[in-house]
Formats: sequence, C-alpha cells, structure tokens
Amino acid sequence: MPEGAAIVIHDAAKVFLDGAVVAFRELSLDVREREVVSIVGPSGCGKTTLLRCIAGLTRLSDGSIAVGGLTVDGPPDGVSMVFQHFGLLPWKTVWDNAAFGLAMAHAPAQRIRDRVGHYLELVGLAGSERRYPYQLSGGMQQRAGLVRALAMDPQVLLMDEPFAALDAQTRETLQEELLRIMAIEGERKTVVFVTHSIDEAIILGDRVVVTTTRPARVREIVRVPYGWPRDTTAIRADPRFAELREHIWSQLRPDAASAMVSA
Amino acid sequence: MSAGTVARGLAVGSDAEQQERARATAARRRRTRRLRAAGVRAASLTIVLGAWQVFGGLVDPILFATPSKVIVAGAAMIASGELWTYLWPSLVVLAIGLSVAAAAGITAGLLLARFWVLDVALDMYVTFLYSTPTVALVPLIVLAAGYETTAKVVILFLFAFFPLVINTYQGVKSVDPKLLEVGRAFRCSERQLWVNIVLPAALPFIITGLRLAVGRGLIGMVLADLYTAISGIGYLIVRTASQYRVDRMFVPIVTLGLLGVTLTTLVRLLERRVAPWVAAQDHD
Repeated sequence: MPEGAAIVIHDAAKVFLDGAVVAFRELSLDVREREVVSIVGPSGCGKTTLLRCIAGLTRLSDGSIAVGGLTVDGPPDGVSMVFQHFGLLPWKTVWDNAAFGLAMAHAPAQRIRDRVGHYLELVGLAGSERRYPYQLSGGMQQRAGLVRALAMDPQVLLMDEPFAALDAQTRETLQEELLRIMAIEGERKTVVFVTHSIDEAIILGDRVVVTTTRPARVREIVRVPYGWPRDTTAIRADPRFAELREHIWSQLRPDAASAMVSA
Repeated sequence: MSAGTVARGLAVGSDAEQQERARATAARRRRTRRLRAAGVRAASLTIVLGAWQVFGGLVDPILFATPSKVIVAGAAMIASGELWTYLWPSLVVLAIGLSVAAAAGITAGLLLARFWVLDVALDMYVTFLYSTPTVALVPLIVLAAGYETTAKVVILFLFAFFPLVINTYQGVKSVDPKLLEVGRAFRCSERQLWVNIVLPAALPFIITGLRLAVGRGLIGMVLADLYTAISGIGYLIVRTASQYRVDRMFVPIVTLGLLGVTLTTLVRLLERRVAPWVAAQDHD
C-alpha cells in the first residue's frame, strides 16, 4: 500500500441505464490517511454515487477504488457511512441505533457499551439513549447517526451531505462538533465529506475537491490553509476564507449556470 | 470546566425544559381534542338512538324494535345465559380460524416476498382466490369438510387468509430502500437484514392485514353459521327472526358489532404497543 494513502481512486467511471447517464468518468483521487477531503460540486453531479462506490454499495462501471490497499468489492471493512437522510431505524432506540454497526459485527457486549457510551457522551446524547428517533430533533438524529459510524472505529468515514437536511444553525453546530471530535488525539479519521456547500467544504476539509457537472471529473483540488484544531469563527473571519470561497465559486459557476439552463 | 462547556450545559438544560413544556402543551391539546370528540360522539349517539326510539315505536313491532326493547331483551338473554351459549361456539371458530389464518398468511406473505420463484409461480393464484367472492367456495367446502366446526373454520380461514398474505407481502416489498442500504453499509448478513430491518418495517402492514382479517373473519363467522349447520350466533339470529322477535334478533347483531369494534380496537392497541413509531408519525 502506497505510503499514507487510505483511499486510491483510479480512472473510475460509473454509468447508469446502459450508458445513457454518466455519473462520473475518468475520475482519479488519492485520499491520505487521516486526511479530510471535501468534495463539492453542482448538485446531482454524481458525488453521492462516488461515495456509494467507495462504500461498496454499488459497483464501478470502469476503473478501480482501493480502501486500505484492498480493491473495493462490496462494503469494505473499516469503512463507516453517515447518510444525508440519517438512516436511523425508527424501531430502535438511540442506543440500539448507535450500537447497530457493532452489534451487526458481533462485537463483544463490553466493547459495545464502552464505545457507544463514549461517543454518545461526546456528542451530547447521553441521557437520550432510550428515546426513539421520532422523539429527537434532526440534529440529535444525525448525532446518533454519527455515533453509529464512529463507534465502529472505522479507518475511513464517508459522509454524504450529512448536514444538508438540517437548518442552518444546527448545521453549524454539528460542523463544530465534528471538528472538535476530529481534533481529539486518536479520534481523527480519514474522511470523505460530500457537500454542496462551499463554506462547509472549506471549514471541514484539508483539501477541497471541486468537481464538474455530470459526468463529474475532478476540476481542481484546492488545499485549505488551516491546520488542526480548527476554530470556525476564526476561519470565517480570515480573509483567505473569502478568497478561497470566491475561487471555488468561480470554478463551479459555469457548471451551476449550465445546470440551471438544462434543468 | 471551561466557560464554553458551562454555556453549552445551560443551553442544553433550557432546551430540555422547552421541549418538556412543548410536550406538556401538546398533551393538553390532545386531551382537549379527545374530550371534545367524545362529547360530539355522545351527542350523536343520543340523537340517533333517540330518533330510533321515537320512530321505531311507530313501526309494527313485528318488523322493528326500539332500542329500549332491545336492551331489555339483551339483559334477559344475558341473564338466562342464552346469548353466551350461542356466542361461544362461534367465538371458538373465530379464534381458531383467525389464528391459523394469521400464522399461515404471514408466513406465506413472507415466503412470497422473499423467494422470487414462489412469487412468480403463486401470485396468480393469490390474486385469483382473493378476487373470487369467498362465498362461492362455501358449497365446495361443505362437500369436502362437512357441516360442522371443521367446515366453519375453513370458511373463516379463507375469509381471513388473503388480506394477511397480501399485506405482509406488500409490507416486505415497501421497506424503505434507504434503510436496506444502511443495513448493507453496516455489513448485515441476510438474516440480520430481515430481523433488524425488513420485519420491523413490514410490521405495520402486517397489523393492518390483521385488522382487515378480523373484519372479514367476522363476516366469515356469521356466514359459516348461516350456510353450514345452522348453529352458533347465526342460529340465534335466524331463530329469533323466524319467531318474529325482532327485539331479540337485534341482540346478537349488536353483539357482533360490539365484537368487531372490540377486536379492531385491540389490534390498534397492539399496533401502538409493537410499532409506536407509526402512531407517532400519524399524530404529526
């Protein structure tokens, strides 16, 4: 395995409907270990499909993806996903939802107790363990979704527009919480974070991958000049943040405009 | 502890308080609405029964009865044990028929939904039999199973079986694909997928099937009493009618209605107990 590469995407392509719809094509990207890579692009451009391919939930049409040096063929070990729709099971309590991945992997009861308890505490869900998802706000539900993924102690965390369904304030709170967790020694993961928010991509990412409209290709990879731990308020106030934002927006704008015309 | 965490703690505390208050308000509003509904129902019942009492008294008593007379007759039939004597055998048929139909119907629905070959091979029969008026099969059942309890159970089974098969099948087929994907992402085995996702997701559909089965089962029960050996609650209706005792005839009819309401309510309570998330969504 190449030094420090957690995910290697090589010349990947995914087509639907016998080639009528091309989600992405000739897409190559390396994600280093413990690196947070945001992928931002016009909506409906195949970012989610790429994430599903990394997660082994759907097959590539061409090219290859390797996670931890192993070619993805079905959901790989050590990869957890956080979903835009939260994906909590309505019939399970917060605790059972958070413990779902570990329980499915037949983890020992003690380990489940330790890890699930630890992360529920970390995101402020301690005390809500016996509630059901329908009794929680959207933000709380997604915290449970995050705990479910983190409790698995994954090497790679895939996040598919995880905060897109939340209101603006909750979204920022959750961004800060994610940054806080990722800044803790030993909690840092390799993260691929798909979003359509440029701000979010910059605030959370070490690098921002800007994609073109369908078929998606990597248009540019932008390095984010902030280290860890991160302070969102300071980042937003930084003049470089506005420049980066403007730059990424200028990269996306022609595509966004054409997407609107074709829609 | 830093100032930040203290502020966070306070914020969460007041959030919880606010949530508590919102919950209390919602509960109060629900209670008021329930009380008002109960009031409207009571008024409606009074008006309808009152009208029945007044206008029912104008009709020849051989053809019709008033509520007061039905109540008197009912009290007498309960006191003498007559009602219970005829109701019991029908209830036994209902219980056996519904239990067998539930076990077989749910199992069949799950198998059809799980195995493509079974689905394709058998769905036409299910559709055909479900579309055929079950009454049309009664003479055949009598030929095969006679006139007694067995035949009645078979008739009841046929009435209750199909809604269960079809609803269970639909329940499995309409599991949210997003949740199935969550299961796959967390590397569920097939068995884990069924136990943790498919079956719980199908449960509300299965319970709806049960509710339909109870309604159809009651029809089957009376029908079996009328079209095979005339016995049970059906016999009571036929006999009282042939004696022109309309007031007594209404007693088994009302009993059947109350039985239907009770069973349906029980199924609804069962649903709230085993699938609380569905009821919660209904409230919103």
